[in-house]
Amino acid sequence: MTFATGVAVFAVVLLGVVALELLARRGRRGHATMADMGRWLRRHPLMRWALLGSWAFTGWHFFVR
Amino acid sequence: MEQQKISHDARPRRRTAVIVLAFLAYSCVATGHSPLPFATEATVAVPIALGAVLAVRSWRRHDRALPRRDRTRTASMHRGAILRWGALAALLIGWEAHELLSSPRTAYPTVSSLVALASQLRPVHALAFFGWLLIGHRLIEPARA
Repeated sequence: MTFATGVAVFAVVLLGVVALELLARRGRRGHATMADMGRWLRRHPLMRWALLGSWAFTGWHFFVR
Repeated sequence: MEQQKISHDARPRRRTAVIVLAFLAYSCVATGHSPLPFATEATVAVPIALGAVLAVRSWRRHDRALPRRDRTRTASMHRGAILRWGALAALLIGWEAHELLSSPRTAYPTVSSLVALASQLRPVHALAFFGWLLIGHRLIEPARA
């Protein structure tokens, strides 16, 4: 039961990502794609490094450890 | 003139195709078994090091093209979009933290444990690696206004 709940919450997040992405791609006003959000965040020098660091950590964590 | 336009348009598409193919090939090699020591570490460290160097170059070139006062200015973004994506990120981080602090892991899965479970299948592992490389490539691109 707890395993199923855990997976279900992650699935909801994944579905939310897909839904927001689709709404933005269909041109709905007030929506932004994940790429738009990434571009917006990368405008700030600190956020660029934070995103690059997160990407590096994710790669090391998932594929090496 | 028309032919020049077509070849101009085809160039970025060809570049994208080459990048995707190179990433796919690298992902297949990187996720395969290697008898060499530290092969796994090296296959991840190389894209990270290369990504950091290319990112600094790309960001510097982009910033130099902007007036000084615009370099740290944040572009406008719709508040609703920030709230929606922020809520999803908060849910993911919050739930991940909840699962991380609970045990046993078999009953409280984290993103890492689910990815590790799925990555036992070689194609899934290779696809995940490919996705990671693509995300890194997008990060290197300079942020457009």
